[in-house]
Amino acid sequence: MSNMHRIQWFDQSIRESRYPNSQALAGQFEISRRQAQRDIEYMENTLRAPLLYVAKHRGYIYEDRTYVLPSLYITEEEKGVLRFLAHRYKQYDYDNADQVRRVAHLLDRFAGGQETELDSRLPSFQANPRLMDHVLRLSNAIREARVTELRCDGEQLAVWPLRLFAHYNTDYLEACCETSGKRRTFRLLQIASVQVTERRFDPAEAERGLPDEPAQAVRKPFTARVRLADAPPGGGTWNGFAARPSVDDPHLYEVDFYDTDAFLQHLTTARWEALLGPKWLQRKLRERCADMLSRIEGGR
Amino acid sequence: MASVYLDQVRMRRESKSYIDSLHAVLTAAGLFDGPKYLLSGLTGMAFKFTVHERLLPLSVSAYGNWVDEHGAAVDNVGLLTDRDAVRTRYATFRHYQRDAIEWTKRSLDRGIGVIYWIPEFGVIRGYDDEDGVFFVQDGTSGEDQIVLYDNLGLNFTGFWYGEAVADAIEVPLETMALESVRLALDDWTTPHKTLPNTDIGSGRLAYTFMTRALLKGDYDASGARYIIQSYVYARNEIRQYLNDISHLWPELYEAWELYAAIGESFKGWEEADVSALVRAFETAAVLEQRAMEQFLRLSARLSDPKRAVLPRWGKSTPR
Repeated sequence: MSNMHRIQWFDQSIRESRYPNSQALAGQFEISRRQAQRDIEYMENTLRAPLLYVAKHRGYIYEDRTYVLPSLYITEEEKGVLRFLAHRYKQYDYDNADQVRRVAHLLDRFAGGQETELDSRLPSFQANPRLMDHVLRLSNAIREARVTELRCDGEQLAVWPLRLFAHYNTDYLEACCETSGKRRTFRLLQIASVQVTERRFDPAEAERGLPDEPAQAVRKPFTARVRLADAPPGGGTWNGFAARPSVDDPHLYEVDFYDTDAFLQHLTTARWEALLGPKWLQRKLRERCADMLSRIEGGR
Repeated sequence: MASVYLDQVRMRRESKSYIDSLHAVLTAAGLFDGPKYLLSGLTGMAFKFTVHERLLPLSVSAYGNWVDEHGAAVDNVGLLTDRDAVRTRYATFRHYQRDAIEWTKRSLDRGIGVIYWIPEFGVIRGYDDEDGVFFVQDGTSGEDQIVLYDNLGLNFTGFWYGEAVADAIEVPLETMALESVRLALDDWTTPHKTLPNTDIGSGRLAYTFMTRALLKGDYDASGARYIIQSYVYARNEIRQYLNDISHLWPELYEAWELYAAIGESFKGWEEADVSALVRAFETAAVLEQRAMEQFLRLSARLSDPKRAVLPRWGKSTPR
């Protein structure tokens, strides 16, 4: 039972002039007197109740009888719901995302503004208490990098939870299986139980175990084999072109370039001893030089 | 280490880049000996006219889904081609690329160049295994572009396209001519060929996009020049093409006269004279509409089993 019920009972007793005290509260709800005293202090300090202890009656009254208990009062459990909702709305990025994020901010304030650090995206959510509980516990496990034991489809396994994500309105957990080291995806609704252990895992190691995202195809540079008299002064570059010395010959360099024209122009000005390849580059250079020579000859 | 270099492939940029490439490949392989305008007309490519609402230069080659458009075009002239087109961001792209390197080399070994999206379209005329490169002709520069095997298909547009001609059969001229005007009608009556995008208009709508952009002044100047040049060249191609086939049916002669009139209205066009251009396009839109009515009349009086019979799987091919 939450303290909201106890506070409501206490408030009601004062209004009926029954002068309740911590002993009565403890007796009524079978809690310790210390707990009961904390509830009374909570009323006084947080809910700003004008409580006055009347020694004659050994109980409390309201100094100001117009006082009413705040109508909005959120329990920890309800805060959990709000945190979950706030998180979900924050992740929303479809239509009217700005307005939805404002709602998320508001909900977050109600929930006490604590970041839940969940990593998922969903336009709407299913208010399934078990699912919600799983999401909150798994997100904590992800944040604290704790090994988690799952029971799923009759299987009991220890996993390293990595991230939560949503796809077509279904929540999933991506985790690295501790025994096999393989990445697996679990549907949250299929997870029967979640047990977060004290053991921790190394998130970097878990990520290493994952297969790389398929990399976008990127353009590769052309590579020219050039013999240079001296090592390029730029270290790893030859006037801005990436150059690697060859294993067999210290004077032979493999030079990367993307723009053929720019490199040909560079070859006409820079110092080099031999151009060993590729053939097409030799041909292009030869053609350009022949063209230049014929123009020089033609000009005479 | 094998290498092939097809000296006889001579591509020149004049018409749409696809037709320039196809013509270069076919003539070098001895599969077609007619003029370029005839190929452009018979494939229906000359009639394709698409305009981006801001007159971007991509308008000229954005005439639809190339696999479908070029498929119908080469099919009409009796060509069997093998084409591959894929977005380079797909994880499977490298597999398609590896396969494409092989079939491109096989086609070059047979002495047939390969149409390749540079962009725009060009011709792969050779390869060298030792350097691991293809030699690509773009039709504008005298020198070949060099493409590493590993870079085949990679360009800033994010998709790759390659097409190799496998074989050709004889198709009667009447069949090709009739289908070409039907393809022209399809292009004329389809407002958007690159759905879901609706910023590029085709056929009749392309004229509207063109005049609207010119009047508004919010357009890409170099793109506008390129589109108009390509448009005027294509109308000239259509005029010559219809002249060649006008003996087949009287409607084609009527259409030829109309296209000749379109050509007249663009004589000596100048980029700076926007109002004259708008007038020319407005006139051309009316004339081309009348030409299409001639095509429609011709198409209606002759049987069209291709369009009248709906395949069991619907209009699109099953995938």
